[in-house]
Parts: sequence; C-alpha cells; structure tokens
Amino acid sequence: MKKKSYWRNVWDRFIKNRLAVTGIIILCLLIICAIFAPVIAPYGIDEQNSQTRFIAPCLQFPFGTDNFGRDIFSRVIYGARISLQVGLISVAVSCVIGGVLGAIAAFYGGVVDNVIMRFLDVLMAIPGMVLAVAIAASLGPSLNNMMIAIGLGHAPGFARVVRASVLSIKEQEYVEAARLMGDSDFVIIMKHIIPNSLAPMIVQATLNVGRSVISAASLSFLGLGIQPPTPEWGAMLSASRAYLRDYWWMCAFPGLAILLTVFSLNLVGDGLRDALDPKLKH
Amino acid sequence: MAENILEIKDLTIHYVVEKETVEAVNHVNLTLAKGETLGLVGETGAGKTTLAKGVMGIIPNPPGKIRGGEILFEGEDLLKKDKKAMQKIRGEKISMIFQDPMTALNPVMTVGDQIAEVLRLHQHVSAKEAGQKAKELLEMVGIPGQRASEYPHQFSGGMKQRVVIAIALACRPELLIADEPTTALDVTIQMQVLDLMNNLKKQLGTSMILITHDFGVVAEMCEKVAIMYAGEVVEYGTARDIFNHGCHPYTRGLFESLPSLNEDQPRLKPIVGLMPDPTKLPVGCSFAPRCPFCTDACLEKKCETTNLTETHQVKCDYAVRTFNGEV
Amino acid sequence: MDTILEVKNLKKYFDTPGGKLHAVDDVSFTIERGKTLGVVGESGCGKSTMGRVIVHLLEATDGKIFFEGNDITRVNSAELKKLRNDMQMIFQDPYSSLDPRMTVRDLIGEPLKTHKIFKNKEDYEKRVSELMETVGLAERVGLQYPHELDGGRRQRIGIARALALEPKVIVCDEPVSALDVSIQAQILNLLMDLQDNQGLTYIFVTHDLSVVKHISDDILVMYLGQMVEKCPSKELFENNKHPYTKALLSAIPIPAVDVERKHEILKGEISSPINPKPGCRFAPRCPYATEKCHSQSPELREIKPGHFVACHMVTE
Repeated sequence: MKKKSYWRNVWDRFIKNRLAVTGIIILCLLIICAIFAPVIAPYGIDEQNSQTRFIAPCLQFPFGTDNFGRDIFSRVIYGARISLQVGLISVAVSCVIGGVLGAIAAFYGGVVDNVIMRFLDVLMAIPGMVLAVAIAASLGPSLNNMMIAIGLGHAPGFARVVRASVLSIKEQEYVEAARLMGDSDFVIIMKHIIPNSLAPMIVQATLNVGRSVISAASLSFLGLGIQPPTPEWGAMLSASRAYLRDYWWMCAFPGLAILLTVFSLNLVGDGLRDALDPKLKH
Repeated sequence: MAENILEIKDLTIHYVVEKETVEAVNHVNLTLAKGETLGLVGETGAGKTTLAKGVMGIIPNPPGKIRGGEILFEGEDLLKKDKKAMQKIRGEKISMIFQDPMTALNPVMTVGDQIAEVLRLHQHVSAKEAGQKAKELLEMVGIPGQRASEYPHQFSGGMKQRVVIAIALACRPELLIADEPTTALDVTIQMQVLDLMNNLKKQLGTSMILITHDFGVVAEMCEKVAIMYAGEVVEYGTARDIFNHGCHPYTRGLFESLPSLNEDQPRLKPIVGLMPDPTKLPVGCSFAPRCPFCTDACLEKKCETTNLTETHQVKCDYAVRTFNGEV
Repeated sequence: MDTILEVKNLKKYFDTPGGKLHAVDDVSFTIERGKTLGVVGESGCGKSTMGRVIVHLLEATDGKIFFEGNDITRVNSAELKKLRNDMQMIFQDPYSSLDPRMTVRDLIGEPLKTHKIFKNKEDYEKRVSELMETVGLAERVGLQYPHELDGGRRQRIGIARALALEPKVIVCDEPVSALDVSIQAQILNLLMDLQDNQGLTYIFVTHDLSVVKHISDDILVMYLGQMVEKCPSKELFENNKHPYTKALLSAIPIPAVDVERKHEILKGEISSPINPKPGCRFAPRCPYATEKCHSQSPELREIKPGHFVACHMVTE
C-alpha cells in the first residue's frame, strides 16, 4: 500500500461521488461560459433593437428578448462573469472573516468570545441589506466594494455556525492530546479544529452563494453595485419584475441560471463534505 | 421445575446494511424460569442488546430483520403479535432499563409526572391516583415521595437510575430486562442499586434478564448465566455451573483476563486476537481463530450444543471432553 | 531512593457560578522512578483533574510539583516544551482522543513532527514503524483511520503516541475502562511490559480497584478532592484504615459463587465539591463519624512508614 497524503485521499473520495462530479461539471461549464462569453454570445450585451422587443424564445433568440429588445441568452452568458464572481468571492470573504472570528471566539472563550460575539450580534441586529447598503455607500459604488459589503453582511452567520462546531470539537480529547504533544494554539486550530469543523461551514457557504447573487441584485437596483447596462443575473431578475405576468422568459432564464449555479455548488459542497470525512469511505 | 416465563427458540436476528449483513444474533436458545434472573454476559458486539431488543420487539426494521425462531413469553409467540398487542405487552408485562440513566429521562418533565405517565397509559387511572402511586413507587426505590415534583437534573446519577427503575416497575411487569443498569455508576452507588434491584425482585417476584460484561455483578444477582460470543450462546447454565465448572474456552478466557483482587498474578492471560467482524463470521466456530484448543474440525463446522448436566449446556466439543475429564 | 516526581499540597480550584469548586484540595505524594502510583476514587473526586494538573494541561491553583528535583509548577513555554518530552498522558476514551481525520501513522508521528525530532523523512518513518511494533500494531494498519479500528487498537495508538517522545512519566487516565475485559488484559500487559523495558513511571488513574491492584506499587485513594489514604498496594488491600477505603473495597461485586457476601452499603451520595464545609468530607456518609469529624478536617498522618491516612478515628 502506498502512502497517500490526506488531500490525495480526499480527492479520491470526491471523484468517486457521481453527484459531486456532476456538480463540478456544471460549475465548470458555467465558468467556461463566463470566460468565453464573447465567443459564445450571439449578440452584444447592449444591442438594443426596438423591432425585437419582447420576443418569446425562438431559434433566433433562444431565451427571448427583453423590454429593450436585447437578447436574453447573450446577457445571461455575459452575466455569468459578474454573478459568479460576486457569488463566489463574497462568500469567500464571509467564510474567511466569519470563520476566523467564530473559531477564535470559540477557542479562547471568556472575554474574547464575548467581545467578538456581541460585536457580531450588533451586526446581525442590523438588517443585512441595510448593512450592505451602508458599507457599499461609504466605500463607493464598485464591483469590489459590493463584494466586500455582501461578504461582511453575511459574515456573522458564518461566525455562529463555526463557533458552534468549534465549541464541540475543542472539548474532544484529541485537542487536549495535541496540546500535550506540544502543538501551538495556531497549529491546533489549523490542523485539528478547522478541518473537523468544515462540514457545517461548507453547507452554509453553498447556500449563501445564491443569497449573495440576489443581494448583489438589490444593491445594483439601488445604484450601489453594478451599473446598467452591465448584465448581471440578479439585476436582470429585478428588471423583469414589471413584466412578470406577460413575458415569463425575462425572469425565467436569469432565475434558472442562479438556480443552476446554486444547485451545482450544493452538489459540490455535499461531495466535499463527505470527502473530507474519512468515516464515510464506503 | 418452575414454570418458564420466557423461552427463546432458535432466534436469529440480522441487520442488513446495503450489501452487508450483520449477523447480530444467531440461532439462540434460552429459557428463563419465573422469578429467576438470567445474566447475559459477553463483550461489546456479542449481540446482547440486540437479543434484548428482540424480546422487547423494538428491533428497528429496516435495517433489522428477524430471520427465524420463536420468542415464547408465557407460552405465546411474541413474534406473531401485531404492533398494538406488542405495545400493550411492553410496559405492562415486559419492561426495560437502559444503560445510561442520564439520557433515559425527559429533562423537561418532573420525575413524578414521568412515572405517572406510564401508569396512566397502561393502567388508565386518574391523574390524581397516578400521582399518588408515583410517589409510592419513588418511596419503593428509596427516594422521598416529596421529590416527585423535581426535575431529573436535580437528581444524581444513582438517583436517576432509581427513577428509571421505578418507571420500569410501575406496572409490575412479569419480566424486566436491564441493559448494563449499573455500568455508568460508581462502585458504592452500584452496590446500592444492585441491592435495591435484588430486594425488589424478591418483593415483587419479577423475572429478570440482566445484560452485563461484569462477572462480579452477575455473581451478585443471577441464578442463570448465558455467555454470548459473536451472536451465539456458547455456554449456558446456573451461576454455579459457569463460575465453578465453566468449560468453554471463551468462558475460561474471560475469567483468566480478569485481574483478581484475591490473588497475585504477575501477568494477565488475555484472549488473543479480536472478535470477528459480524458481517464476515467464519464458517466454523466463531471463536476458533482465537481459541488455543482449535482443531481443523473447529474451522470447518460449528459444534452442536451439548447438555453436560440437566442445567449446563455448552457449544464446544473440546469443552465437553474437558468436562468429562477426557483431556 | 530515587524520587522522580513529588507533589506538595497541590490544589486546583475552578470558579463556577455556584462558588469555588475544590477539584483537588491539598494532595501530596512522591513517586519513585519506575514505579506505578494508582489513584482511585469515584467520579468527581478530582483524580483526572489531578493528572491533568501534573502534566500541565491545567494550571495548579496552589502547591508545588517537583520533577527530578526541579520545581515545575510554573514554567515558561520553552520549559513547557521540554516538559512535554518528559511527561505524557494516555487518555480514557480511545474514540475521542484521536483526530478522526488523521491516519494511524500520522497520529503516532505527530509529536515527532511538532518537536522536529528527525531531519530526514526516512528516520522519521523508521521511528514510527518502530513505535507501532513496540505497541503491537501491525504495519498494515498504518494507513488506516482510527474509526476503522477497534477500541483496543485505538488505545495502542494512544500509547504509541505517548511513547513517541520517550517520556519518563506517563499519566494514564482510565486507559482501560472503555475496553472489554479480554482487550483490557492485553493493554494492561502491554503497559506493564513497557514499564519493565523502558523504566517508565506511571500515574494510573482509575475507578476500577481490581485493575489498580494489579498494576500499582502504591495506591492513593481520593474522596472529593482530598487524599484519604495512601500506602503500598498490598497494604491497602490487607490493612486499610480509612472507612471510605473500607467501604470502597467492600462495594466491589465479587465474581465468584459460594462466597460470603457482606457488602457494607454506604448511605447517601457524594456531596458537592463546591464550597465544601469544614470537617471531614466523608463524614456525612461515614458510619463512624463523630462530632469532631463534622467540625474539624483530619490531617494526613503517617501511621507507619509509607502508610498515610486522613481520619480522626484511626488511632495507631
């Protein structure tokens, strides 16, 4: 038997999971769409045509056209660029900030825990949207600032989830054993506590991608995020609200795109969670 | 001979998990006479708890499957009863005490209410009457009646186990199954609880199956002893048969692994190896791979159960020969 | 006489909402090199806490700990690192004391990596294999995860990990109480062989008196954080003095038939270790307690060489 590293074992387990592989294929396709958008999209993002307003999906316009006569298919493809970025990066921001704060709070307990958690409680007490608006407004409207704003807004949720799982893991005797081996706090957190508390964090992260995309749309709607005419799934959704009753395709396709992203991430997340747990080898 | 309250005949229980079959209980035969206590001894994974759950009719299905056999309780086969009849029997005729008294009680109900609930469910008495009887039951297990209005967290481990016993005995069951009732308790508290159980047994004439891994507890409590290994009863007899004339290599191995309080042993004699994987039991005798007296025949075929005396049975041909002084 | 560890008036209090919890209260003893001190008592008597204070997983509230003559009660991080080489611990629960995401080899090798014992990988792998052999783990289980193994093998991993740094003292916290008897005997034999071969000193914390008798040279009996009796193992079983020791011994179920069963059944249960009242802590349950016992704490006295008792009623 050859010695394999932990991550090699994780990868082996992940690749055996059919659903997870499906998820990663869908995700890769979406990313390819985003990268090669100019090649794939038949029209430009801002090609307006008053002759072709509100056309239902047909051969010429696979996803139909919107109120300005723009091709929805092309806009969805281009939208992947912004939406995937917003979804993934803002979740990564909240994962890192919330995860680290939650882990520190749980690990050290006492005063540290109290200070961090009360601060996060204050953040949680402010509605997420208001908070994001405040941050985005103070940093100025741009894509990066919007991602930071959304990431910060979702961080307290992560902190709570991570804190709860770290609290139970730090009571395990193997953490005590690690201390006895002479491991520093940093090593204990990084090597023993974080890997064992990843599962709930991954679930939280995959669920949050969808929420982030929608939050981005709301911020954009308020003029604090992406400025039109840059296509973005959330913004397309909110723009279609007025036409929901008559022209279903305007909201259906951007909505499906978000759904597909979240769905594939969920599959990947579940697969990752199982792969990280050596107990579920079979 | 006393009347048998429970007869288990050729009982086989398997758990089917995906493609694997866990052979938890294999062709077990046991009898329990009225008023007697049977000690079920064996290591983790020997199938003791599964057997007890089988008698209670609480094997989860799936994954549990009862593959055959009979469980005759007062002459009637429990396996043929429907769900509703079994519910009535549980609690009224047969009840069970679990290992961990900490989790067996509902933390948001007073102990008095928890005892009363059982009474109201099975005996259909009024709330007031049930409350009164709950207090009497608490007194019976040595807890002052006025503590009935307290919550489980206000009791210590030993007290909680007493409450659990009070609940189990509330309807005066014919048969009590106790699954490691004192394992979670300290020795001085364990002795209190064992003493209580012994007294109640005499007072109420309850028959009992006591599951344990502690030979000390068995010797204190039981008239009959069954030694289980890998889902089979390998030796069965009175306490005297097992403690003084135990002859199955596994029984002897267990006794030899125990550190003794009375004599000095420079080294213990553990049984080598491990219990076989219950999904891949050997074709022959399950104990053969660990047995110092194993022969080729043992690896190929299981031994039949042999009656050594009227009360003493063993499932090993070598043990039969040693018992008869041939080896 | 070669004293390896000396503990003087060791105290460990915890702050709880209800007041000060006296987990370990004024415990003193010495251990000779290569011997085993058994520590027995019921749950909540502070025996595990004491073990953790000695290996510096918890900080002592008061008192002194000397290791090979040096005061190690308060140490800085460099000294602590050195101390980890000398004192290790084996945990009770072989299920929760091993990180489920690490393979057997990684678990055993972790202390070697942390202390950077080996510069090249070959020496490291050799040492891990050697440790596995010492504790009787087959080479093939090296790449398995702990959940794939049984309790006995897991406890062997815990022992190998504790041995990795070649410590002089090992605190064993109920190392066999989660195991079945046949496996328990295997592990006890292993621990005793290791002691013979490597000259280890054990502090063996347990609630099981037959196990402690088997493995210990000296036995310390604790009740509610205090020492009640300490003497050589044989003496404790043949000539015990303290009423609690007597009750404890008498409460052990005897695994034999046709013996006289005269169990002295103690009344009541252990009282709370939070803000204990003055007087002997065992007095509320003691059948011989007098006025004096309820008001005045008994001193620990050496009634004959090596035999210490804390009880007003013991005279000689």
